[in-house]
Amino acid sequence: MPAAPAVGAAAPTPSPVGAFSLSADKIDFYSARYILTASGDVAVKLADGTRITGQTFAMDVRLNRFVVAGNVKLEAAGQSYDGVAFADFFDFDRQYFVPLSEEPDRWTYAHGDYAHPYRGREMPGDTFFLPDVSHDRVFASSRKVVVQPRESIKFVTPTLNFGLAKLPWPSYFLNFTANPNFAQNSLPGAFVDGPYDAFGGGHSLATAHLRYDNADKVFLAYEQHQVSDRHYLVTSISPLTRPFKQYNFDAFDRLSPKTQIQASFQESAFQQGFKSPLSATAFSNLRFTAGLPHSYLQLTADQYWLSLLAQPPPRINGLYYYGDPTHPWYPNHPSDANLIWTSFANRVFSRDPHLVFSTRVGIGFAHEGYGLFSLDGASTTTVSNHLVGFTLAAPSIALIRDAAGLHRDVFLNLTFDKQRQWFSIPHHTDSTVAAASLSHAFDRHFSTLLAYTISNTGDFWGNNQPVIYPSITTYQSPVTGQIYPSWAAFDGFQTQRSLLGQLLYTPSTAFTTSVALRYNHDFPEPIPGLAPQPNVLAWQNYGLTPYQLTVDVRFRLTPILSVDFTDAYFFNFGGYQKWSPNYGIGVLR
Amino acid sequence: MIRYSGQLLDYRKGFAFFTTGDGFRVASNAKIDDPNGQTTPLQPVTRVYARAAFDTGNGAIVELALSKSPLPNEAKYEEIKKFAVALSPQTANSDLSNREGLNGKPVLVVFTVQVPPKTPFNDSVYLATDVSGWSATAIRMDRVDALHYRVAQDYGSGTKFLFRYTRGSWRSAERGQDGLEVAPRPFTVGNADVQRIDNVVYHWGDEDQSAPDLGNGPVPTPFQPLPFNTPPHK
Repeated sequence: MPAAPAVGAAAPTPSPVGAFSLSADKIDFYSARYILTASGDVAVKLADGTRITGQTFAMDVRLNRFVVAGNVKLEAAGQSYDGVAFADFFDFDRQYFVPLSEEPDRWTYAHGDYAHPYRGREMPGDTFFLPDVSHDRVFASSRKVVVQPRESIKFVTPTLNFGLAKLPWPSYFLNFTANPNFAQNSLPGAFVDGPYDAFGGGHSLATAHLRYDNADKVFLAYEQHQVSDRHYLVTSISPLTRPFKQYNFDAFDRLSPKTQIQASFQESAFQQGFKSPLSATAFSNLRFTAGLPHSYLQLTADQYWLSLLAQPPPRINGLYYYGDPTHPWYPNHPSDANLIWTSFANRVFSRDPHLVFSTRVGIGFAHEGYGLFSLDGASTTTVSNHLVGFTLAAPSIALIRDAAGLHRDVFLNLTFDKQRQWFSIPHHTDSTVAAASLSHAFDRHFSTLLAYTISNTGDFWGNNQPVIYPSITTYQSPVTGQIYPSWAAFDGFQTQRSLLGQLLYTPSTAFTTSVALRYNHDFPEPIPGLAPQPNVLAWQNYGLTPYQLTVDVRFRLTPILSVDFTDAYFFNFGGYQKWSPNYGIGVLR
Repeated sequence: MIRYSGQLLDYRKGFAFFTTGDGFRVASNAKIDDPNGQTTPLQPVTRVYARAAFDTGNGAIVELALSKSPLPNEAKYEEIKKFAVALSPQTANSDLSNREGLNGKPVLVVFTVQVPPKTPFNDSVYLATDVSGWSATAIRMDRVDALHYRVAQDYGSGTKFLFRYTRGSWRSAERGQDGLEVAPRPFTVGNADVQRIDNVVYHWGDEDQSAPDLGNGPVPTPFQPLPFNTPPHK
């Protein structure tokens, strides 16, 4: 065999590697550790045609390397070699082999050149390491898989272990690509979601979802991804098995290094199966962003279709609806667009990095052919606006230095935002938000935060102020019916003052707890409202509750699973708001 | 006599191979038993753990004690490496030089991120990583002040992953200072006792630049010109 040429030091090579197939009597995937093992009549066929057989196989999917060991036969470059173990380090494009004729040897191949082994070349110490998975749970078992290194594993007729049951499936596609576009989600929220990645490839993924929420109970949904490094197209239907369906379409494309476009379209339809819908509405959004020197420009546009179907004939009492009054017809299809220029954060003083500011200006319009706003009997179909605003921020000013140098400084953060927006219907709004916070870490485990925010919003209508905000109006709680007379003084000017204290305790990286108390003193005063939506802690009040205590506890169950528990107490606001009806428990991974 | 323990790669043609990749000659009269010197039903096959007793005179294995679980070591690898049999003399590997030699020891990694001033005070900030399937809520961070969030995690040195900051969904993932989507941030854990990562998020994906305070109640829109969420009235 000819001598091998010199080879330089290997560095991880991100170059694409072809898929390889693996068959064996038993193939197991350990999802907690991303380890794939196989035993009994193991056969690996690499993309270049190289075939390796043996008794056992182990692949650390994240390290992107595998080992075949035990009575190994390597068939490559038209030759067949008997051996003990073979390892392929894809990221380094190195293959390691222990051949066995009369005596063993150690061969290293570079770049899949099996005709020219580097004989006797020192190998990494863990080249043939076989991970101990005796204490780990198998998630998927199969007899054949196709592995695309750094991207995916396709299991052929696997059995999936869901803890309570092991079920056979026709196919399972495990996607672990570094491309985050595969994680884009176009499905609406659900209380429980169980995804099943049925089929896929380097640029696509088809996922069936078994879901549960309060309205539809248990139902099926479907989502399809088409992605590349710079674009994605995600479509979904949810629920598939209930009449009120949502069709979603989300798309993104990085048009150039300095421009990107994002679009979404959502249609909500009431239809039995996939028959012609009884009613349907839709919404679309387009967002184009262009990076400019030291600033950027963003164009957003929305279009709404409150009824997509043709106008129904008039029904009882002259109402227009499809089927029954729960599916009303609305002719409106409003649209709007805004173009905003935003600067980068600039230093206020060129030599002082602590104080930065950014500015923004924008123009926009809204249109609704059936009328957008009425004042003094005159209806307007198009309203244009323009705005100007700026933000000042002073992050992390060390107010009191820790003399011991243990990073226990007292830090001050300041932000100030001001904006004015003018509308073609003659009014303008001003908003001002100022916030200051002090933070201090007592040691590695305890830290505290004290923050104060004051927010003013004014809606200026000039002579029309009492027309828009009449003082004779009576405001009441939709739950208790209680009247709030102080709202009689509300004439379009709101002030919110918020004081927040927080204590954070982190005894270890596996356990964290925080307690936060917020106090608000606002005008107009808050009015108690309805129970919150699922997974929302705050009540649907008008304004913020005067007091809120929030407790958050998080602990790590396994290296990849954490449990997060959050609840809030509202100090009997309105006579009925104590603990939040929706405490939150989330499993994070 | 030197005793070395490890996991078997193979046992063939008079050689026992450990997962170090080394093959050692087995004496023709070698005894195969369990760690207590008793007979064993185990066979010397791939994945079985074994403690090999070497005859320091000729370097051959004279006893192989088998077990299903790892056995304590009595000798260092360097002491028995010289007994390994190989047709070719060992040559240096340039791949292995100039390597940092990441040793996998646990490293406390502290991530601190500065968020945009428009970040809602009640929102959570998360780290999404490729090793957690890009779940947008993979690692929740703790707020340390109005503009900073922090989380500490233990990783073995040599761990590599990509990450991005989110506010719990991909729609609200971080954006660059130019408003464009940012590439995932690469990260490698070194051999230090503590590693500190400081990042800045300039914008969130769901920011509305015409809204002065992201997520804090209603803002005037073309269809709702009044910037207030007013209760039922008459």
